[in-house]
Amino acid sequence: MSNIILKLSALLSRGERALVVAFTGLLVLIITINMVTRAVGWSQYWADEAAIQTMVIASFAGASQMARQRADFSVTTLLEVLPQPLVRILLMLVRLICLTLCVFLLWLAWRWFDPVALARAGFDLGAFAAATQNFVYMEQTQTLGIAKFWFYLILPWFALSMIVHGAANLIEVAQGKAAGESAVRAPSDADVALS
Amino acid sequence: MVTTASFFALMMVGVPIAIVLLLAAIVFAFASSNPALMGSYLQQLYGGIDSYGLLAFPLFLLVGEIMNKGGVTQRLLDMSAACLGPVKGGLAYINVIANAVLSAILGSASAQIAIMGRMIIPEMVRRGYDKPFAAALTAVAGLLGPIIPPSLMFVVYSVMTQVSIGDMLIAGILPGILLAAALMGVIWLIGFVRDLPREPRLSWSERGRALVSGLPALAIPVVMIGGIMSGLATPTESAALAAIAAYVAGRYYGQALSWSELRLMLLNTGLNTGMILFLVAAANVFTWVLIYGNVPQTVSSWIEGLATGPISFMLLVMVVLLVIGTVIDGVPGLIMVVPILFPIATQVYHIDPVHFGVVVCINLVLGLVSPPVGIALFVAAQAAEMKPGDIFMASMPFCLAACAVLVILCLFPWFSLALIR
Repeated sequence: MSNIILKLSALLSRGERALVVAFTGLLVLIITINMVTRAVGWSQYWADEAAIQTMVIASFAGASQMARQRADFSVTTLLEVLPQPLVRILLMLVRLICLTLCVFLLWLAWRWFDPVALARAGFDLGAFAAATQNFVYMEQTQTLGIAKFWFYLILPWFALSMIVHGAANLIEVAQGKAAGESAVRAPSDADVALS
Repeated sequence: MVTTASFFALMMVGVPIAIVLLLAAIVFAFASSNPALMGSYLQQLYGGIDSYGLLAFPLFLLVGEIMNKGGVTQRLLDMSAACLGPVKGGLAYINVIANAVLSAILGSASAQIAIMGRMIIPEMVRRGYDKPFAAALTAVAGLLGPIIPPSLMFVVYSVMTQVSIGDMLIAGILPGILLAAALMGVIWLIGFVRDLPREPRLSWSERGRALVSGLPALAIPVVMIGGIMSGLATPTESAALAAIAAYVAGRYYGQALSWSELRLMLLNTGLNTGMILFLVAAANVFTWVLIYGNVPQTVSSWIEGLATGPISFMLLVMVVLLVIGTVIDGVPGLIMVVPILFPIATQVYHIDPVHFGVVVCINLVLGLVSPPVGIALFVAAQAAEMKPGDIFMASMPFCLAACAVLVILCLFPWFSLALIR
């Protein structure tokens, strides 16, 4: 079971990294196109919103990846002073807390998108909104001409992906593979880039 | 009470700060009998980064990635040496000047310390400076990174508070120059007390070559700061122009990007953007819940009892942030304190939001050189192959100078506001 989760996490990671590269590149491209077209008086009104949505999707995919690499910001003072066996228990607790939150996020996403009620409404978005007073499927982007929920779908994906990565992190801590993270940790690339 | 306890307990056991913020928001919603807030929880999470202003963030990171590729730092050092001449402690001054210029290209202290540390610490040691002094100076001079524009912290602050990003970025210029001057003052004083090596005299042709070689790198801050100050481009557009300028400068230095390098740069940019923007998104959820529960008003009435005016409030904030800065890094610290302190500063004490932002950011930046977390010390120690503790003592005079600058900035808002008013 643990091998399956680790493999699934690795597979997801590959996909997320490709998505991050593609969307970050797309983001730069859209902003450049917007600048050039505005300079020549042929402004593309959709470009700003497209760039923002691209950034949001890339960000959630990137955040999920960074969580898998355990490169997220945290206060490690206590982990640096405790004895190793206690550190391992504490790390497992931390990973378990993260995992629980992600399960909760997935549950919130399920409630928000409410696929059961949507199916019950015969996938009629208007009928769904009237019956549930949930307008997630009715919200429109301002300039792109598509419904906002297509972009919101990154959230359930993010929650699901964080569950898989969280489980993989927990397994690694339990197997002792990540014990080193507790020590006086040298800054990761992420720390270096962002502080 | 339950929220505060869970917040600090989760943070201290090492739960990632973004997760702490999200969990604290949930605890608060249930503890204050508002579980209905969960209905908009995910929308707030998404909405936290659904912002035009944040587009500058990945672009600033990308500029740094392109310029990190190499070549630029050495040219900036040569150019600084050409400007300075053979003075006592020359290489120490060059360290500060090159850091100030590099700050106008990169927006982060640790990236800057990592790059500069690898180049200048060994060079300073080779020229006769003692290693802890070289590493400490490089660590503290690296703090100019998040102060002189482009500054990633200022972008985050602007988006959180709806303050103009352009104003915030420009407001960092004078405080950055003041900090650089203070560091150079400390070098002068140290040189007065003990002997510091002198730089060799350069011929005029050598100086000319160094200046010409460094000029393309200067195109980046010129494009970025010039674009914002002239009003010709938004900070996002200026950042995009700077990315193009960085690419062109890279080509000038003979560094055409291969596909694999470009892919790696985009990946690093995307991953780092993701990590920080997730934090911003989580902070948005947390702030939303806090506002719903009138927490800023409660804290405000408590603080009003302690601080009688804007100056005493700012000094109180400075002490609190210096303490927070010892355990939490810049951007996460900013994200945790701004939602509570900003409304109090601007609505109760009528402090200018830009001035407040500059002081808070610089305050938190100082935490980067204070143990036990002190990322800047770690990075400099790594570059110098030393222990962070060995650098800390040597960094004390520079840290005290930086604290003095902070007090000056706090007392005289002119330094933050002169260029934008």
